[in-house]
Amino acid sequence: MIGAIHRTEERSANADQSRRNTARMVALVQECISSGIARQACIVHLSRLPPSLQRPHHLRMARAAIEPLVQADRARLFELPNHDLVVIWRAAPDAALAQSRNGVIQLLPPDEAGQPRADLATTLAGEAIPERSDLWEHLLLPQDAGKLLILAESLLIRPEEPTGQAAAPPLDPAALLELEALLAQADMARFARRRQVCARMMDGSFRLRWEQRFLSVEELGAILAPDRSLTGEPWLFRRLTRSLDSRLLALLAAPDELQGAGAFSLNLNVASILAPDFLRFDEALPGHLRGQVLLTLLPSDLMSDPSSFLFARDFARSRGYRLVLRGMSLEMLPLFPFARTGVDYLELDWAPALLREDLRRLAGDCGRVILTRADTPQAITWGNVNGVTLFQGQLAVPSDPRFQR
Amino acid sequence: MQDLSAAASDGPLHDAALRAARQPAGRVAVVLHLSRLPALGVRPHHRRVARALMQDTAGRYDGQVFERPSGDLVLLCRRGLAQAPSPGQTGRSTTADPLALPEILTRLLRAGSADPGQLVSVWSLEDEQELLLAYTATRTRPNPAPPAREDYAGQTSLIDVLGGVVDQVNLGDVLRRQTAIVLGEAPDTGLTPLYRDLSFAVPSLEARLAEAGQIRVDPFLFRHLSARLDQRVLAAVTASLGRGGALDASTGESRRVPMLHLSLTVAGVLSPAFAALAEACRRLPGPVAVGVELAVMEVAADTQRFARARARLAEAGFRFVLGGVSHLSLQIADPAPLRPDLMKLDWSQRLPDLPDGEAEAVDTALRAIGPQRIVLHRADSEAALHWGLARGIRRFQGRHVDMMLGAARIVSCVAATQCNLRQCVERARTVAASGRAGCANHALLDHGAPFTAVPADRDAAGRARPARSTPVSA
Repeated sequence: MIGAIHRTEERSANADQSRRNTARMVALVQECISSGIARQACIVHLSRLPPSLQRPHHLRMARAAIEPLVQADRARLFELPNHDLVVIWRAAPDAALAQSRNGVIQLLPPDEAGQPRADLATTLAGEAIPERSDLWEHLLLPQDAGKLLILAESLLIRPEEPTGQAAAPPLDPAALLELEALLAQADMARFARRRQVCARMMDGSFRLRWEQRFLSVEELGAILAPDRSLTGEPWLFRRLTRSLDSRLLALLAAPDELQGAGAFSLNLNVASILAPDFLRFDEALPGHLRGQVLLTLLPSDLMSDPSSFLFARDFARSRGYRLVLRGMSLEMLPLFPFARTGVDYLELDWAPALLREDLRRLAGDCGRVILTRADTPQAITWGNVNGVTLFQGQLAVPSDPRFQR
Repeated sequence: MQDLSAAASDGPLHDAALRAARQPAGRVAVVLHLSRLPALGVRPHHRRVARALMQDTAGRYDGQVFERPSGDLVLLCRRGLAQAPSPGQTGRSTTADPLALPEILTRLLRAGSADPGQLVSVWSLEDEQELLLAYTATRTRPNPAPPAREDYAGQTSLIDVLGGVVDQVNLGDVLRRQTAIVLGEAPDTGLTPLYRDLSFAVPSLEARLAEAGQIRVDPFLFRHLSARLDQRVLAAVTASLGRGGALDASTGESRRVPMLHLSLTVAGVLSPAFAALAEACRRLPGPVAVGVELAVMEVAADTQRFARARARLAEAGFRFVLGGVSHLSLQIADPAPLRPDLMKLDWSQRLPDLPDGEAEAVDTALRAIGPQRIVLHRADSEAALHWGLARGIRRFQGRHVDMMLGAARIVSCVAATQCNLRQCVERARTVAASGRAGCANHALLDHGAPFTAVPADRDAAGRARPARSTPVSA
């Protein structure tokens, strides 16, 4: 059981690493587009090989084959989530390109004459063998950049919600009571998670601005209430978030928990900001973090008790917190203008429908918009064109390894 | 943090003031007069947060915080510039300066007071110690308002009994009806019923929850309860179609009965029970008119679900009414892009006295919606009508309107010889048949006002006119 958990965690860590690699590749390609500096790239489509040719030693052979290119001037190697390899370089001898290509093609089984196959054939197991041109692709940047961006986009689409959770019955009052009792005793540290909010620099790279700290509802539900959909009944879920706020604040107020921490944001309910737990957290907040903490709120929470929101907003401001409106959609933007809410930022969830919209008209100050779920090059590009500089998503990862966790 | 429930007597405060007065140099007193807020306007977090802020200042400026029996909070401390916390030091920010506190406290509490400037006093012990000593020497009476149960942790027993209430409560006991009106522009056109509003009487619901808790203090639980009760309301209204009575949405062959308005949740509109009502309305041979009120909180919770709910309303030919909007909501959000057929703005006694900036925000929002689409809700006084009329608002709903309608009924009803105004108003509010006992003119009671013209917001068939094609007017 423990071994299985470790293997699962390892797979998850590898997947995260691959997504970060993809994000860095996209950043480099976009930089190439914006600067116009010519580069070359090759894609080794290992994912197109049949399973019998995707064994570890095949992958090692492929990596060894492209080594001459990886050694080229300013070359960078990216392993994508589907195991395809991409190398992008500025200048390399023609010989290195040819050597790498030939080495990669050697992965294909030879034909009767002992040459690598050029035509469609099958392995002994009956699996289709791709053509050489399907295994190796040579690109010139920036003109062929679109191919790399489309490939990245197809690999970064969020997985569907697990059907088991969606199909489970929603919370009812009795289940909520039971879950709240469990929460009171559970070790919440195991559910604590972080996400990065990054600023996009002029050169297309990302720099960490702050981390979102939250409790993973999915994991919490899977462990503490596996037979229930926590979000199935929206209002009881919102009620549950009050308990989660309380536990998260208690976690962060623990001695030394925030020593050395950088700027971060917390998803809270308005009522939680006015509760004793928050006052204790505020009291325990280290001096270096004063002014470095953002509190993110939901629009419906503002509307449920406007008087409390106005009080909480002004109280939080007086203590140096910045405020963020989260979960904003295209339709909500005109309802909650900055000038009325008085918040510092708003989090706009990326959706393809945004492509048709002019963010400046809808939100005004785009520099205060954080584009969240920005998992595709399309999202980053749209944000960039519309003046958004703050991003959260799989592609918004700091280029400097010191800022990666 | 000290226990707030242990309200201090005035003795220690007065003793401390006397001690401070003996060495007054550089010392100040900051008094937060929470007792000057309306009793029901003081919420637990007001006291909790204000106390925490004052306690923080006390910690930095050699001070002490006292709570008087009246609820006032008093800080005695040194005056001086704040010291920035050193790196790694825990605690609050540099805004803890005692002379910065009045501005912060006033801003925090401004929504609850017509004159927030009177909520905080700052007295220098060097120059104004007699003011402090006179204040602390004055006996104060304990605040008569019991502390509201607002902390959600105390609501677990409430969750426990919710299910039983939803399933067992008699709808007639917890539903209330109220008629909204349009005031005619000319003096002789009088008042015309606009709709009959059907909603839950929260005090009645809470009476059934007994000691379990106050459902109002947990808006999320309240929405959950409302969503479940929607199912029963929708079923009851569907069953009552064409049968007369308070829940009948048909407007009668004479089309004299005003439209029926239901307060629903988005989940309720998207439920099969709503589809059943819409279908039953379509099949009914006579005219039917229904409006559905959705709270702005519901709309903001999920705009995609709201869009689906709105489409369902349009498909059914029902009117969309935006509810739960107060002058405070209008300071935060702009509801105009939702383009409701009607928007109910909650009356507040604060409205006539809002500071200029806030008053302008409200007026701007009202102009954007259009006064012809606004109903001034909870219009419980003549002042509310005056305020609304001054802004071109002619649609009203509330207790004052109930009295106006009751008086008009009593005057015109031939069967009212044994009735008084209070009885007539109560019977009009009641949904249960038993609550109407004694009234011999149910047709007039259901209509709300003496019969006059057919309201112009219905077409010749008595149905609600399509929201976009016709302005909502009487």
